[in-house]
Amino acid sequence: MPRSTVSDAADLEKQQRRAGRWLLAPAMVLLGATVVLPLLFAAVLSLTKYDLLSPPRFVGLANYQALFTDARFGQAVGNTLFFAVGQVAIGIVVALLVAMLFDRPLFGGTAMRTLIYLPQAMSYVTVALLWSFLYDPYVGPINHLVKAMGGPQINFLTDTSLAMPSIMAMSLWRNLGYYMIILLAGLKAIPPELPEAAQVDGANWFQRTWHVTIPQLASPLLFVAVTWLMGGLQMFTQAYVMTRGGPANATRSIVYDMYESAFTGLDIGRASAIAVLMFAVVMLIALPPRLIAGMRGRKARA
Amino acid sequence: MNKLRKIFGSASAHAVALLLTALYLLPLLYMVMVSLIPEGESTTAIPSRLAWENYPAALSASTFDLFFANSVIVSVVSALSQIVLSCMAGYALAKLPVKSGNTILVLLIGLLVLPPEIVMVPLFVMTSRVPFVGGNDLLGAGGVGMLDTFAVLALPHMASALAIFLMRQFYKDLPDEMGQAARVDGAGEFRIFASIYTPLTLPAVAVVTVLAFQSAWNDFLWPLIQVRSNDMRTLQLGMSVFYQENSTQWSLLMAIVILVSIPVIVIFVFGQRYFTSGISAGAVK
Amino acid sequence: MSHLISRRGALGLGLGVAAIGLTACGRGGGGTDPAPAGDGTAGAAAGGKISFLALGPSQGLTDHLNNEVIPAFKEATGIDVELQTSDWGSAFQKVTTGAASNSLADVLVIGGIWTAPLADKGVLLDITDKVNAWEDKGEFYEKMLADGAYDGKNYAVPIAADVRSGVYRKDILEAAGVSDLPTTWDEFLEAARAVKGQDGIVAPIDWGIDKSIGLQQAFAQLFLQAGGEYWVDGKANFNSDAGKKALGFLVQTYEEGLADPNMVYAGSGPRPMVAGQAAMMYSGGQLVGNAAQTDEAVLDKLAVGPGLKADASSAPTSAAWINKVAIAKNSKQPDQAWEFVKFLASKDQLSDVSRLYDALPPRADLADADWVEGLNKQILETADDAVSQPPNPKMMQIGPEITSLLEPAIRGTVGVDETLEAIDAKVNSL
Repeated sequence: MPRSTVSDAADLEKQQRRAGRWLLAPAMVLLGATVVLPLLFAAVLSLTKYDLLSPPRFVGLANYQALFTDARFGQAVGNTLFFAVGQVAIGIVVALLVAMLFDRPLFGGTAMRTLIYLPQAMSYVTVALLWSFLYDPYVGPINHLVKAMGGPQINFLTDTSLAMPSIMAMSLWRNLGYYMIILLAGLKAIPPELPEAAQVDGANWFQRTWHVTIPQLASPLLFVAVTWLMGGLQMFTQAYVMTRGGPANATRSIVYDMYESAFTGLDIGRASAIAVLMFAVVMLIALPPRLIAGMRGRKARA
Repeated sequence: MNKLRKIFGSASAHAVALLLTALYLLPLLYMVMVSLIPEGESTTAIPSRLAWENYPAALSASTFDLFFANSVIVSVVSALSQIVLSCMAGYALAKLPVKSGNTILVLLIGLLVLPPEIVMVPLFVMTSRVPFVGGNDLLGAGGVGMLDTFAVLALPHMASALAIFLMRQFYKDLPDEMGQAARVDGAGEFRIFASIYTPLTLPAVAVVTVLAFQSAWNDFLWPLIQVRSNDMRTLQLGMSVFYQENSTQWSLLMAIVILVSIPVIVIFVFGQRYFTSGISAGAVK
Repeated sequence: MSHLISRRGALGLGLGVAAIGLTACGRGGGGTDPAPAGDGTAGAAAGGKISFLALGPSQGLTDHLNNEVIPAFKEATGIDVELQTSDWGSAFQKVTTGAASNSLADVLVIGGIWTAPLADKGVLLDITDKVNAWEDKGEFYEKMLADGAYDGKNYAVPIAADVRSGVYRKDILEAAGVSDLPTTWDEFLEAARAVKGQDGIVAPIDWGIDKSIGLQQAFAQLFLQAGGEYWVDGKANFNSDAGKKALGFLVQTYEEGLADPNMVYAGSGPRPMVAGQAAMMYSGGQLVGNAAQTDEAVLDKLAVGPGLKADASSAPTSAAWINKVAIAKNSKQPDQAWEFVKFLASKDQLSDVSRLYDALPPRADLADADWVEGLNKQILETADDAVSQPPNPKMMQIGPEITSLLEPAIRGTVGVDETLEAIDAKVNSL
């Protein structure tokens, strides 16, 4: 090549940089406007008393102070953690076992897998309506069956100690398939020699699972745990449709409290403070594993 | 002995799988059955006949055709926007030298886990205060701003960090040599993006489409707070209102639930092949 | 660099234009225009278009408004009305955010305790002069008209009165050997004890707990019967003799198993009393309407008793929850809006509207409407003793707060005194 490759390369670099900017800009602008800007705005609003009708008034950290001393908000936090952690803890074990079940050859395995996966496509509103009916003490089939066998009426959604577990069971039912599929893909990626070798060494099923399968699945398991937990922290629609946060605030979640603060209590400041706190907590939980995974990935690629 | 154990193991695996299947099949079948119970009959007994008229009756019990159209518009706009934007941004991050690309990537990862709910309240205030729109003045006061429009209904779903991230991973795995070869042939950067690489990303685009369509179609909180008029309700919102107002009619309600779920289920089943591989690729990596 | 900045600017502009384009498309497609900017100049002359937000309408009411009321109004005045509806659950949210974003309907229904909170926030138009100049004013029951007033000014006109006293299942009471309907709390308890254990009875008393503030409404009614005053010197006064008496009575019914905290009406299907699972309830038209809708055969088995007395010497008291119509302060067409309020509350129209709200007409000249007979007549007879909750700007927050504080009390996990203390503290802190 007779031409100067140095200036060509510089030219190309310039062209590529320009193309990169143009291609990146629209998405960044939109994400900035719909996520970053509102977040900053929430931080500002959280320092004010604002009812949407009269101009906001600066109150410093009063909203945060009020949240930290509010028993009802404390209850909402407790409920949300119970829901999110409980769902993940039970869900991840069940999802793994089910994935291992479908990892072996089964008649009609694909059909069964698809079926379990199906509710994931339904919205929480539709699933909540379906389960409101299944749980109904008077016309619902579960109670009908229980009563026919001589059992007592089960008040799934109105008993303070049953309401949240009932919503949790429903959410688990909806979400299980999605995470199971992810773990199943992880299982299929494990070289079959590994468990076979362990079997030859005389390891039993439990030992094989604990020492071979789970370490091999570390990455998808972490993904499932974090994603599922985050999903759980966002619980709102189930409580809104099924129980309105009741009975006795037993199903009031953080997002529900935020919604009610903003739009029934007209306390935008408090709602924004909740949003900011939630942001902080989510970042604390979710970012470390992500960053570790990211760094590990970069090192591996390098 | 070993063989016997294998048969026994397989049999018990099948038994467990069937039990699990029943746990999913029964509620869904029950839903279908209830939706076909004639008016006035008990919901806990086998219906005397199949009342197919429940479906048209359910649809006409509220303006569900309108809600359906609204949901389709919002979901299609969201999906198209996400496909275009995430292809562009994903490609730029994967294949082009971008200033502070790593910082952007870390930021995107941060946004990945952000619950969308936490921006709903400020976003509501902002969209109602957009200057010069919907009767607003310069300061954003006096009118409705952009509330109650398709644009704002779709807004939170039009760009997604997850979609960009998925596309970036996919582009990253495509060989650099293809672009270099095209450059030697004199192709510009945009053409390389649009006609060399992007046609190869169909599986990833399918994943993004399913995710975007589903998130917009199934969204509830955002329509709940920003829709003002009956005519702008989406299916999820319209369904919730219908439940609050006419909840005596379980048969109609279940018919609506089924009708509303069919589109996403179809898209889901259709996109499942790509979907599972795409999502799990992201997870396993 | 300057070309870059301008390019970015152009890009932003492009996105903005796209968004506005979509906005316009939204407007056109949805066929809604909540802020008719151009119509402001039309003035008070006939014609124009206003919007009307009806809260919690049944399908029947929605159809009636769309097919009868609105066309008739159009014929009479030339004014078009766009009907908006909302379920009660998200209604207050819809009204407040609507007011905040100027997208509130010109005319809106407001619930029982809403006058003070909304008037205090400056959401409602002061219609004192309009009401005073209205020839029909004298036809409305004075107490019900007063429910639409706050701080000496009128903001709303009553359209439907949900009067609640004791409603009973005659058949179940008779089977249990109770022949006279209770007039005092003691008799109420006696009747409940007699009914307890009867076939199919889950709990004799249904206090009307729902996913909203039904529990607070039950407590409020007992509190008022016990002679309680909400406010003394601007401070909450629930932790008082009347409060202790009322909550003590309420809790006692749960302790004795005469009521069940799990009896929560989910808003669907027959109420427990219609289903034969309870026999006595503080209710009125709501229950009658529910029976008519879900099981007409039950209608004949219902009886309406008088408003109860806390003890033999006190005054019988029933409670009234009154739906009203008001005009948004930001309405661009207040005169057309007032025309519609008058039309809706006129003798000819109000009869059906009240009936379809499962409530009684608030006009004396409709007391003899043909449908106000039987049970409805019995309910109307208790209306003389009806009181409403006193207006307070914090009422919308008070209802849910009190409800969530009462929930543990009826489950026996928190004591009566402690609960009342907590209620006063919470209400005062709002």
